[in-house]
Amino acid sequence: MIKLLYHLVNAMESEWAMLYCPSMDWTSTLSPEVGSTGIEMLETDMFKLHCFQTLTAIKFIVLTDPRQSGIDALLRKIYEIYSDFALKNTFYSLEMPIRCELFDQNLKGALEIADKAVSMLGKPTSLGSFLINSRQTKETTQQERPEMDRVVLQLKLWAINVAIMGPKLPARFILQDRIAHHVPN
Amino acid sequence: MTVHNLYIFDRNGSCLHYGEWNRKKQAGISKEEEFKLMYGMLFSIRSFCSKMSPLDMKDGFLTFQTSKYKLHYYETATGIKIIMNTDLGVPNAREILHQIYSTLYVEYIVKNPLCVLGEQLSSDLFSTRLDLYIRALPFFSPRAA
Repeated sequence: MIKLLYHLVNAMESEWAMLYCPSMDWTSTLSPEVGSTGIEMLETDMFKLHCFQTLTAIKFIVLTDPRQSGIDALLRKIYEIYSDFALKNTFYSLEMPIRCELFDQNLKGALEIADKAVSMLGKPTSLGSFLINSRQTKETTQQERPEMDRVVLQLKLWAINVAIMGPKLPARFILQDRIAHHVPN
Repeated sequence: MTVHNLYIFDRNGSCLHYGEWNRKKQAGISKEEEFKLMYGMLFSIRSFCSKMSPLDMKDGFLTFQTSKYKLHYYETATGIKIIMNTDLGVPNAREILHQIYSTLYVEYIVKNPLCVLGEQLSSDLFSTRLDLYIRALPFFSPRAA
């Protein structure tokens, strides 16, 4: 799930950036307080969605069980893993799906640690780790494929439209010269 | 810990009531636009949640939070939506919103033969009672800063 989301949020930045209207920072417009960010945590009775936005507007989104704790630490850990194994990988191009083995391995490890820390108390595993497993198995069944597409499509639509994008970030810390396709502010 | 503001919408998206207690920053757009934006945002969030949910949802979308405030949401079976923006310290206001609906809205609006449902609520009694109720909440404090 998280790997899908990397693809999602990175694609979103470049391809969909032109659709991103500057006035679409809903949560900060409607905020009763000054200086609000976008949605950081969204809760329903069945799941909790956590979002961590970096200074470069990369969004890490994790869906978990509502009772799961320690997700802030997990999100930071995932950011660390992303910067270590994806960004520092010379063969990885920005804004592309991440196909780095070490990244997958470490990510799986981090998710398992987070699950174990919780399952000691007898809680169910988080949604995030389930989907990462099904993503990594090579043989995806016919039933699974439409499921994935549906999820990705929904996340894409939502992430464009809804207030995860808080106030427009000064973003664009240029890391490499290849980021020419970013829409300038 | 404090309550910033409260909205009540009906099933068609028109805002029935809006109350403000501790709001620091205005939206920068007209009230009408703000209500439409709020309703539209929640409509999208609800549809998103129902599609992303791994299991069939019972209550649906409950709250979201940003770095500065938390938005609580309660919807009745008839489409009446009650939205409350509070501080981050408030844990779960669903019961409170339910109370607002059952003890205030139903009692003073629905049972009022003079109140036309679907329009801006013009009942003074409702407004004052709601105000008193909010001020009596344990997590409400008129913030000094």
